[in-house]
Amino acid sequence: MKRKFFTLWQYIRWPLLILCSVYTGLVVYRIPAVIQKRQTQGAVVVIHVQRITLDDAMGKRLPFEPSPETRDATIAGVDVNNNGIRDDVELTLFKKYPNSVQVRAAELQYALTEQMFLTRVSNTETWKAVSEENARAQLCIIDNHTNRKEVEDLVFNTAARVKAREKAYDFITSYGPEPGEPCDISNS
Amino acid sequence: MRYIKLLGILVLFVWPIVSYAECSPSGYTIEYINGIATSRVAAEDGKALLQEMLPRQLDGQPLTVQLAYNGEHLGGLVDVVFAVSQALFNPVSDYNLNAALRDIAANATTQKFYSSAIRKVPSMQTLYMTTLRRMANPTVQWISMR
Repeated sequence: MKRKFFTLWQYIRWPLLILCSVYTGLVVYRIPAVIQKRQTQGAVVVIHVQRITLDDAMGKRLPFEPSPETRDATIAGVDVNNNGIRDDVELTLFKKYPNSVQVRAAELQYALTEQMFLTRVSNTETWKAVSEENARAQLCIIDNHTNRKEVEDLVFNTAARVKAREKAYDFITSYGPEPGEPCDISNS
Repeated sequence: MRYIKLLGILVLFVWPIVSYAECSPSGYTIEYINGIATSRVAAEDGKALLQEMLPRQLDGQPLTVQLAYNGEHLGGLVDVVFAVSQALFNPVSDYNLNAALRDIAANATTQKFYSSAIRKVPSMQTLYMTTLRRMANPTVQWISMR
């Protein structure tokens, strides 16, 4: 019995070793892809979760005017109050619409999603998530009879940012708006 | 054993119903398919413009616009060949259309669809509906805009 097992082992040990090595190799090879997939899933959740708050719309956390040197020094720009909206864009919208919270909220929401094209897009999945939120913000803009183009001009205000937006659009794919209420801040 | 078979049959019948239920019978989806040699940003802008031009509701039901992205191949050269062949004789390939349809099916949230580009060509209309029914929902309807 022991001899039979030994003979069998002599035959199968090398194929078994090769199979185990191939399997281990494949597992190791897939590790970076799996890590990237999980990172993308996390990034998509962050994109969908980020919304403007009533405090943002009311200007309770308004930042100071960024200095001319820092304002356009990077693609992402300056966001001291960390609400996802670039400080220069946020302040301009507050100056332009000092008396209309709804219009301001709609344009801030749109500015937030437009800024995400510069800061959050790294592949097709993240582009799609940003575009879904962007399409929802577009509906909010339409519902509040305001102008998306003026927000786009504010967000993509330099040649570098226009180029960064085009680069993000390399990941373009088919999509529709994220379901649910168009506006982060309810009109009621 | 009999219960397992019964459970299997139930799953077979219930699963498609659950899948179809994901597409709401309420609401309209307009598919915007960008033309050939359109820049990526312009494709998205075209979809946004269409959404702005259309009413937000139709027959009291929400109306949304989706982008069915028609990609560019070899700097648009291949797309020109496809378009010319479509206009003059049998299309060389429906690759672009099929790719767009797959994306539409994956994003489908309503049962009523409209696309002006496809509406003009009856053979494409049939292919469009067959693909949508196969991939997304057997109850999809073709609608005519007034």
